[in-house]
Amino acid sequence: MADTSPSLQPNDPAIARLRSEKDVALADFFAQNRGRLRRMVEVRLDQRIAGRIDPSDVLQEAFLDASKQLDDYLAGLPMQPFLWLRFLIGQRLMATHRRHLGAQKRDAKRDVPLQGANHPQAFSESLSCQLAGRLSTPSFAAARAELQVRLRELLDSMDPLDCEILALRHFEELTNHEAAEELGISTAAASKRYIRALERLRKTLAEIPGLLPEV
Amino acid sequence: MEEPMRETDDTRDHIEILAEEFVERYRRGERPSVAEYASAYPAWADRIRELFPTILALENVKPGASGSGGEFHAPAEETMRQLGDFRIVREVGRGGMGVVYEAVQESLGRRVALKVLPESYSSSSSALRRFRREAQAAARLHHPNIVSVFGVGEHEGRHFYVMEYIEGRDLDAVFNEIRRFREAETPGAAPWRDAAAIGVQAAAALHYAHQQGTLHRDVKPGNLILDRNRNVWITDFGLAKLTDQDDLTQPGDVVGTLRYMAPEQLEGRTDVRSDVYSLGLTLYELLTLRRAFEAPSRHELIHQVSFHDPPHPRTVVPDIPRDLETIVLKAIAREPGHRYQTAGELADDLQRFLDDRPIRARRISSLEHAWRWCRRNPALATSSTVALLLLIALAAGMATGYVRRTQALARESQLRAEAQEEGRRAEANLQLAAEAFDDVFAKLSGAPTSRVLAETSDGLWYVNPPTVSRKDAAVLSSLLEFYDRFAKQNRDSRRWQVETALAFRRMGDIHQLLGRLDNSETAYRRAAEFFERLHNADPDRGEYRVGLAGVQNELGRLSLDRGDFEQASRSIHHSLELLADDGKTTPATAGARFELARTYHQLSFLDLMRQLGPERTPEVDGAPAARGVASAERALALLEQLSAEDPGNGEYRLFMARCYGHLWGAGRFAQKPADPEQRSRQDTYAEAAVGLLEQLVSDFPENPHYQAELALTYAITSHAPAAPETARQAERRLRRVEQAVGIAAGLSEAFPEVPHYRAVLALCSLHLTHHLWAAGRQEEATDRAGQAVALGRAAQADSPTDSRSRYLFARALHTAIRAHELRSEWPAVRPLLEELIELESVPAGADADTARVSPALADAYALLAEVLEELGEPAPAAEAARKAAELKPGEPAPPRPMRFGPLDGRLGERSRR
Repeated sequence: MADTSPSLQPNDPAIARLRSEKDVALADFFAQNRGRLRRMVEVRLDQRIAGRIDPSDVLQEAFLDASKQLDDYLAGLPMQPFLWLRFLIGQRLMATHRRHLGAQKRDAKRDVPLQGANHPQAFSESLSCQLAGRLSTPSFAAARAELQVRLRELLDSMDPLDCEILALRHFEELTNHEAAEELGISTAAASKRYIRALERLRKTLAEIPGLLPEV
Repeated sequence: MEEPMRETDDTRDHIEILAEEFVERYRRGERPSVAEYASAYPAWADRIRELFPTILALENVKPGASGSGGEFHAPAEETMRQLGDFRIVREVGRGGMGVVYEAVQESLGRRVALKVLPESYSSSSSALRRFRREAQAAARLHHPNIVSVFGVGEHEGRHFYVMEYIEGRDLDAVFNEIRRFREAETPGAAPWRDAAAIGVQAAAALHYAHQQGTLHRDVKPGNLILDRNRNVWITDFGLAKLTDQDDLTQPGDVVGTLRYMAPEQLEGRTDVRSDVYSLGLTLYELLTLRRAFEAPSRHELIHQVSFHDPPHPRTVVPDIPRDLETIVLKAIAREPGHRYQTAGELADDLQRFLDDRPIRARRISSLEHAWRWCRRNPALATSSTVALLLLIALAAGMATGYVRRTQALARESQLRAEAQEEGRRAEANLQLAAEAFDDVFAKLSGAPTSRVLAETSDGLWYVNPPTVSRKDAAVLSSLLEFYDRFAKQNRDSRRWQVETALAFRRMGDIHQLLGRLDNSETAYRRAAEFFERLHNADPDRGEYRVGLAGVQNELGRLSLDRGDFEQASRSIHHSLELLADDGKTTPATAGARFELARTYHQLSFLDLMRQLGPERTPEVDGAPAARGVASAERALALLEQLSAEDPGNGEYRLFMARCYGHLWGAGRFAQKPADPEQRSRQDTYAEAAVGLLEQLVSDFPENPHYQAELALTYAITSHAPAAPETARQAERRLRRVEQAVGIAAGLSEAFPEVPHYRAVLALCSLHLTHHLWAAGRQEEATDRAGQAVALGRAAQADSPTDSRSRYLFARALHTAIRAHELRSEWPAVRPLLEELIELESVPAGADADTARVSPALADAYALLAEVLEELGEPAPAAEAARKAAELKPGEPAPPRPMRFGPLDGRLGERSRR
């Protein structure tokens, strides 16, 4: 699927360094992107086990995976190094979820096959929790719970692909190029899909007053 | 990669390219605004405005923005069933400081609220120490509007706060609900009063906490809970202190906190005024139902809070009462020094708004800056005059402009709005004028500005303000015209009716001080009209009744001054009626009790004057004096209680001294003046009066009026008793009177504009004359008498219609004539006699019908005849003798109750003997 990766440059300096310095370069590269990678874990970690799992542990395991598979990666270069790390983290996350939640969360509707990985869907939960949290204050409990349920319903009714691209662009801070590659689509398609998703989210959120900042 | 780049950036959505850049800048910490992008790319402006807020929403709620997204995830439900002794019932909310649960404390079976801190707190021992310290401080607060903190707890590493559980909703929720149902809300309801009532409770609670040394630091709608009974509860005292500065970078609730932070708080300075600010901003939002500051980002919010003022509430919701807006604007002033200095002051002003009383906060205008500048000018007298003139010119112009414009433009709604604004400005200027008035008055009287009705005091002789010039009075009079005009235009504004009534009352006081009794009466009558109207409109309002009674008392005193006892009696009894006095029950408020005491004091004076005064009724039999004693005693009882309640109030003691003076004066008329028991009682009264006044003068050395009162009392009570006394006693009395003359002379010199002090000096000099004569120093006494005549003449010129100055002048002339007569100095007697005859020929008393010809006039003509005979002018002497016979053939004048000695005897007594 390398042909759908519009931006992979084989003589990318990062790749060149990985080739020459191997683990040292990998550690540096990992450290440089640690923030975004950690965010990915946080976003995608199921809310039900978030209290029990430390994202650092997931990252640690993913790094060990990367170190083991580095030579294979450099041989094939299926994707950009950053997306490769995301791929590995995605795999680790899936394993973690299986271990803690078993198969109960295998909801077909919400499992969206993505290129290289099958990330757990946490967007709507995460977003509804965050947005409701913004409005919530102590002793506003009933209204808040109600709001959160309603938000989640609304977000769940959105196209999972819309949710995914919004999560990638905002929660995981991917650029359009990276998101396109992650989703295995062209940059133009990623661009249009992102804007369409944004538009749908806007309409959804507009149903609940006070959620969007007034401009 | 070998694929041709047919999908270049050109094929990307333009908005998406802009969005990416926008987000990138945003993440770098720049705070690009949506509006900025919309105006930079007008072709996509609409879509930018549509989509970018959603982008910001996503960015703001992004998990883990601070590096640990921990507290944004709910703890797994199953772990939160029990926390030690506490059984969790349900989650009731969550914020930056953790999750709040409703719980039952099983050992005590009571319902509590638990605030479980984020786990990050459990790992830092210093954070935990701070948490415990703050919790202890909060636990010490016990107030009906503060959520009690029972304590802190820890269970399996989770730290929590145990609080009183309040069934209610926080103001954030209330806002949202009101916003949602705004349209459905019934018009005519008074949400403003509800908002003010919430503010009063919250401000009072904050004030209490501040007095206990605890700052809240995070007052915001989310921390104010409204229960079903509309009581407000403040929660989370001091919790904000636990949050590090770093935590402000967190999204969500912390931004909610930031929104209400005072500008100085953002710079790390916090005091009670920061809490005042936050509460003010909360009230702002409660009134306008919109955010005072709204920014998509923390950075922009900080910028707004630091550098911008939110729009005035009335520009958002025009119905908001102006006073309420003024209060809120004062509370949220950017500069802490311009805010209410305590939460208590804020509570008081809100309460005043609720009571329809004038609030203390003022609106800021450009005129105010001029006024403040003038006040800083050390040359007070001139600068205040300049400032007042400036004010009058501007304010008056404003008011007339307003009237003309409203009339002319009434039909055009757009312009009508302008005219209304003009009216608002006129009113603001009026408020400023009112303050200028107060300020000058306070400066003149040396008393703190007090706008409470019935606290302005009066005096037995003249009113209190000791230093005022006629020029000041003229300026104030013009200011008063403006008041009057404005009050007429705003008959429905009760507040301005009150202000105007008070202003007239004060103007009356000032005129009275200047000896202009006619002007004074006019002002008092106008004040009475205003108070009367207010009283009729709202008969249950105590302040209006007390205010009207106060003016009636002043009018009564003016009548007394003029010798019109009937009119005086009517005013005094009107005042008694208003104060609803049945002689048994006592009014509740201190103001009403003081006014009642003043009324009795006045009544006692009236009765004593009937018996003892220069206009005494010949047929009196002692009954008025007895009544006077009873009234004075009633007044004393009231005053003693007031003074016990508020020992710092000098006015209460001043009136007590005067009442003792009345009792002393009544004793002079006792049946057996030589009775030792009577004499010892007399001495007790005199010493009580003198003692009180000496203490007052030492407590208030700056108040010249107390000094004048002391001088008067020294002089009057030193009056020699009828029974003989030792040489040492006589010597002591003489020294006291000399002291009195010294004080009065100093006052007259220091305050040449105030005729009262000259009158006091004249009276003291007159007493000194008698004492010197009694001591055998006849030549000195005669000189003193001459000075007393000059002073009496001046007093008479100052206030021609004042019966007391006339009496004083007549007494001085009489004494000087007697002194010269006894020393057979006929050439000196003649001009004095002629002056006395001229004075006494004009009937005293306001009403010519009731005025009586002075019995002393016949004696004066008789003596004049004698003197002219001595001087070898038989024709005029015969004419004078004929006049004397015509006036009173051989009938002696009634005996004077208070005789000073030989100088006090009848004119011509020597020759008759």
